[in-house]
Amino acid sequence: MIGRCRNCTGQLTFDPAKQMLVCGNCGGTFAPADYGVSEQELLWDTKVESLSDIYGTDAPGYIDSYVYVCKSCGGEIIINGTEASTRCLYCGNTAVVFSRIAKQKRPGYILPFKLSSGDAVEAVRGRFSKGFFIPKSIRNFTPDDVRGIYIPYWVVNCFHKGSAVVSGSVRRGKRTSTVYFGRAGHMNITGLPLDASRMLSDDSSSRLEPYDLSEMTSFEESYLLGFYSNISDINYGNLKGAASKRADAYFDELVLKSVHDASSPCIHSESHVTTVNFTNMKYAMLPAWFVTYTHNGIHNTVVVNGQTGKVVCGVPWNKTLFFLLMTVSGIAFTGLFFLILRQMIPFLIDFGSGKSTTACSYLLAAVAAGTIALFSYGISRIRRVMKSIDLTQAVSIFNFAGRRQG
Amino acid sequence: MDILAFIIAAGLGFGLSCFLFAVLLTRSNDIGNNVGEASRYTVGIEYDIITNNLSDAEVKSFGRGYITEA
Ligand SMILES: [Zn+2]
Ligand SMILES: [Zn+2]
Repeated sequence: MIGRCRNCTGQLTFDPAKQMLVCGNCGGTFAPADYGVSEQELLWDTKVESLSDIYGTDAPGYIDSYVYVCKSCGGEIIINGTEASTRCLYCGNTAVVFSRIAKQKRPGYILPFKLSSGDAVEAVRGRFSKGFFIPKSIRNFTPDDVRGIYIPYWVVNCFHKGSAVVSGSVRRGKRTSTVYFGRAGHMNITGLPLDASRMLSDDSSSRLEPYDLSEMTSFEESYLLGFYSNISDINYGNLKGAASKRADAYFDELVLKSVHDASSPCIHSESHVTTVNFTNMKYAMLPAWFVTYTHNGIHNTVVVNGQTGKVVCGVPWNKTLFFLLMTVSGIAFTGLFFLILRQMIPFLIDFGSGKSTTACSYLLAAVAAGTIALFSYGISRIRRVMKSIDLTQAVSIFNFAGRRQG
Repeated sequence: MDILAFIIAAGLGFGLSCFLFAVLLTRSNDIGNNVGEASRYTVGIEYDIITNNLSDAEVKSFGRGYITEA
């Protein structure tokens, strides 16, 4: 039986370091590919029953909750609508909901975890220790929960056609003028992984990239032992939307790179069409660790790529330290510029009164524009950081990682 | 004259500081905020039309008909 050692019937879990199933009792190791699910096991699979069917439909807590019976101990397991494997609260064994995997399209591939939970926490700590503005209490965080979850992905190929007008500035003598460039073309996109779980936002999952998909192997249920997993719950429309969004962005990025004769190019207008090749896409399970910690009463969910160890999160910052240092450095820079300008300004004004006041006012306008540019760039960067923090503290990602048993 | 110098200096000084610290904050606290690069998934765009220095009329009409012809 899946999940049970062939020597001693001890509990098996997948060990990322060994890339093997390891028995918790006798230490025996087995190749996951040799541990397929038997026909019999599929027949034994208990029905997944909706909680609202059992206890009445109106209780809000029961919506999207289902009851499954643990095959190891017979205990009741509560799962949500898309969970394919979870931990039994009573015996700690991984329960794989075979019927769900069989009924929905069975994944073709899986990228087994390479990092253990310890490696994942280590990766987060390592990255946090490099963050100058990360408060000490967060650097020494204690994880509330560390969960290894296989996220369902569709790996798609698509054909993209687009046209765009790029505007850029060109200097001719003393004048800058806006010039427009037209680009129209097509490209093939291959092996693009798109997260197939509606509960997990694409903004979070896309940041886990890159995954090296050449390390994917044929899906076997036994890889799920010791981990949580979900099945795909998106439709073709969602998939096409997600593919288009990524393809549009890549097209724009490449088009901007193709404009060399102008400075600060940006997209003026664009139109796109992405055709997803629905016949040759791959359904794969990709690994991610979800590490949660609490800071000032707020849940933060850090995601770690289970293959590469890439850490994804926005971290609350030490605002006092940040604004203090920024003010101090602002005063220092002001002093420095003041010393320089005090020398320069009389010269500039003299020069201006002599022949052209326009040259002087141009210079002042340029300085003002530069100042505004510095501020707006800085503020937009800070807002970007705050957006990442919002993603990390979002209730949706906390629920995705946390609303599971075990 | 010193007042003018001071105003400009303060603007530039605090602007530069804001810029610098925003970059530092991004490096410190915005972790892994990037997606897979374009080069990972595509060899690039094969251009059918490349036009430089479009006129205003051309800017408006550029690409018309290109997408719809499928
Ligand atoms: Zn054993
Ligand atoms: Zn159990």
